[in-house]
Amino acid sequence: MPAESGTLDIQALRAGYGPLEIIRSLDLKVEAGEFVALMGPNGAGKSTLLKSIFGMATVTDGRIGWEGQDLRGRKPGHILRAGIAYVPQGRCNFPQMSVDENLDMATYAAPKGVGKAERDYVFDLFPILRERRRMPAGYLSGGEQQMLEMGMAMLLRPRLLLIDEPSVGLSPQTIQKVFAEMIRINQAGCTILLVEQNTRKAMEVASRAAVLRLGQVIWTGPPSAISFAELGEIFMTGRLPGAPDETRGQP
Amino acid sequence: MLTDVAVNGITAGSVYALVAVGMTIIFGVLRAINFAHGEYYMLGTFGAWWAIETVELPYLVSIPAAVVIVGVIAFAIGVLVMRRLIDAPFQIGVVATLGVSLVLQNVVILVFGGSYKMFDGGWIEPVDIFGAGVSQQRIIIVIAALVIFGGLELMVRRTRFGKTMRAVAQNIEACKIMGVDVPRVVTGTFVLGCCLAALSGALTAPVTGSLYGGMGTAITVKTFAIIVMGGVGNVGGTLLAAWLLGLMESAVAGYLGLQFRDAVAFVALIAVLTVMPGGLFSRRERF
Amino acid sequence: MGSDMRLRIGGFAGFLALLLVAPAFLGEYQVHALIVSLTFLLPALGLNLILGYAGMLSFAQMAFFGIGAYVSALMAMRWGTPFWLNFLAAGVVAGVVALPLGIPALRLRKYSFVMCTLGFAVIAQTLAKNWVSVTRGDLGLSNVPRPMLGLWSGGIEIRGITSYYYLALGLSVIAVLAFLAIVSSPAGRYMIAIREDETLAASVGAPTWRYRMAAFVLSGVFAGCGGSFYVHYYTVISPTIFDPYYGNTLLVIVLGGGVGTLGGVVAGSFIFVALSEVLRVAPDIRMIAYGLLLIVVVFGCPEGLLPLLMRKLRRPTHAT
Repeated sequence: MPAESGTLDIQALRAGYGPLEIIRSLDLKVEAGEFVALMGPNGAGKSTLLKSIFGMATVTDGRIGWEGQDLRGRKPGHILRAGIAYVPQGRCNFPQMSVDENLDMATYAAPKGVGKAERDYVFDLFPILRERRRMPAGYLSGGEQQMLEMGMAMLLRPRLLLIDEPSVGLSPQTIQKVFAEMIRINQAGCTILLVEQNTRKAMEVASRAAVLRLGQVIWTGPPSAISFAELGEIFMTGRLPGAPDETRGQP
Repeated sequence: MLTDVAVNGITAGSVYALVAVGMTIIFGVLRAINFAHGEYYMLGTFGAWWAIETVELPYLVSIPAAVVIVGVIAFAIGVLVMRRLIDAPFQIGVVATLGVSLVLQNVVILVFGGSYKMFDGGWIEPVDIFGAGVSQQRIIIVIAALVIFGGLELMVRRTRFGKTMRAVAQNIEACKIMGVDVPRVVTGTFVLGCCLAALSGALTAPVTGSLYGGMGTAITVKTFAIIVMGGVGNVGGTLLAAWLLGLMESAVAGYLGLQFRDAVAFVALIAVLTVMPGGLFSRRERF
Repeated sequence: MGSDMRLRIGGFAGFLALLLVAPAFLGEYQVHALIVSLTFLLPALGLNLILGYAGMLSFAQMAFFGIGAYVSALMAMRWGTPFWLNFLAAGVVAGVVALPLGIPALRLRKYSFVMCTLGFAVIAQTLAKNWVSVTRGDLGLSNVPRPMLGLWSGGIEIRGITSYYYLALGLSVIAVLAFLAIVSSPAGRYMIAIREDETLAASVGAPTWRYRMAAFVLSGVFAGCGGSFYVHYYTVISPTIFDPYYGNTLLVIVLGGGVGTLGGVVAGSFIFVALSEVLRVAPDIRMIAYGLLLIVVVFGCPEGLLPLLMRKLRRPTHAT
């Protein structure tokens, strides 16, 4: 099978935490260069999907295809080296270590010698980090910490970036900035899979939306193909307004 | 008298410090209280004693021998027990390490017998310091503590392993995402901490002169008081708190009576925590 | 939930009936082992309160137990007071002693609290060893009077092992009922709320600290009362009562049985005391086996034996 660079192909995935199953036979294909926003009500399995891809959830069945190999059962270190990075929800830095030390830690899984050039690349993406490089990460503002974490993820030049709820707890201006950086990263050729509670914002930036409900993708398409009200309807009922009802009425 | 009190206090404090710093780094990465920590100190003493008595090694060689023996034991316990404590609720750690403590203590008693043994080794020639005769061994202990604390501080700040240790202590979830092999770091830190306790045991044996299987418990309990007073996870604070405790104990033993010595740690601990709930040195950066 | 409740009440009633008739079928040694289990039950209930309901791990239980034992013994020896008074006084004194310890300690982080309570036990032992004029130091107190069941002076003296057993059983039943009353009272529900989510409980106005303090003092009362029975049964007491071994046994009973549950702690008292007695056949490896057992139990069923058993029992009726 040829290595399809930057393509993620998830088939019939079942995953969760221990005995608790959250993802129930999910299929999702993401092409190189796409910016996909995962949407859906709480508990739909968005965050769990990201964790499953990154080897941090219990995967019981299915396939996580990435550039021709199956990532199922792999550890985060291997997945990082395979070109996928993950920015989880909540703080993911080392508050009492300097920005520089944080970036050192981010290259932990990388082969020896990765560093200088990549660090300049991250500092060019987020110039504020260059200014604060000696400061403990805990002293940075919420938005700066979010950028540090994205910078840490970008340090290994991933071809796929998984981001979970980057806007939580940030001011509107900072959210604007974080989303602008995501678009830049995406335009530089990195595929993005985003989970975002702020649906309106996510629909603005994403090239495609995928709606999850009860652990399955129930609708996917460009954000322009669906209205906000329709999206709400899907969240609530699990189907598009006007679409034939699949659960009832079968003769 | 005053000089004696000071010398005894600093020596005892240095011994405590070497044991306590191991406990504090283990607590840092694992958030678990190690109730078996004093047993590694005991095993260090027994290791050196066994190397001298049975293998007939000179004392100087028996010290690294003891550290290596304890390192191997600690590695096994690290893999079998301590790794499982990652992300476990903290009571689990208490019970599991209590279990380890019982096993280690009683295996030693089973193998070597429960009686006191005499430790024959070390350099106990007195050297004159400010008019007091101080044995060379005590000077060695103090120097060893200073060198090791300096080395640890450097390791934690500069080396890859040291930085990883701090990273695990600060945010274990983030470490997993960076691809850090957390169980390996935990095992490594645990072995390092236990080896320091063993070194302390092997260095102290000539001064205390005797050893027995149950000698670790008292050390474990005092170590708790030290790491809480020093601010948990604070390497420098641990040394200062250990010296302070050594000096206080030595003064109480000298002026009030030996029988009150073992309670000093906790009277001090409760007094300190009443006034400063975070410990004496909590304002400084943790770990 | 209803069938669950019935299962529980039925279980307790059946178990109590079994205990009531037990001496008719058992030898003296087995009855003695049952008494030991019941003796551990009281401080274990106290530990369950502070650990299982207030979420703080305390090593002070055996210190309170020892304090209660000394108080009860000294009262009986010096003033010849009746058992019921000694028993209550032991609980009250232990509870009162818990107060000044709790004031600084309960404000601390969880692990600092653990160390403070451990330190308290060490200090209590040092005191018992050195306050020779009262405690007779390492020699301890011997010839402590047996329990006198009378209103003031005289009354029935408890002597035989069977009478001791029924006294212990009666006190345990009272203690279990008291424990149930505490945890189902509004204060008990607050304690549970605090355990589940301290920040939330504080935000709805639950005075976190006061309820923790109440749990700590009550844990002392339970332990002190347990100590009183202990000393009038063994009729001797020495500073070794403060040794870590006893404290560890309590911890094993509560954590191994099922912390935060009543049935778990009751079951734990019998199971682990029995195990400890069974292991006496191999004295050389007894403590090694006990240590290994701790490790296996804590990793094998971290939530305790009884909750595990209950789940196994329930599965066939509920699943599939």
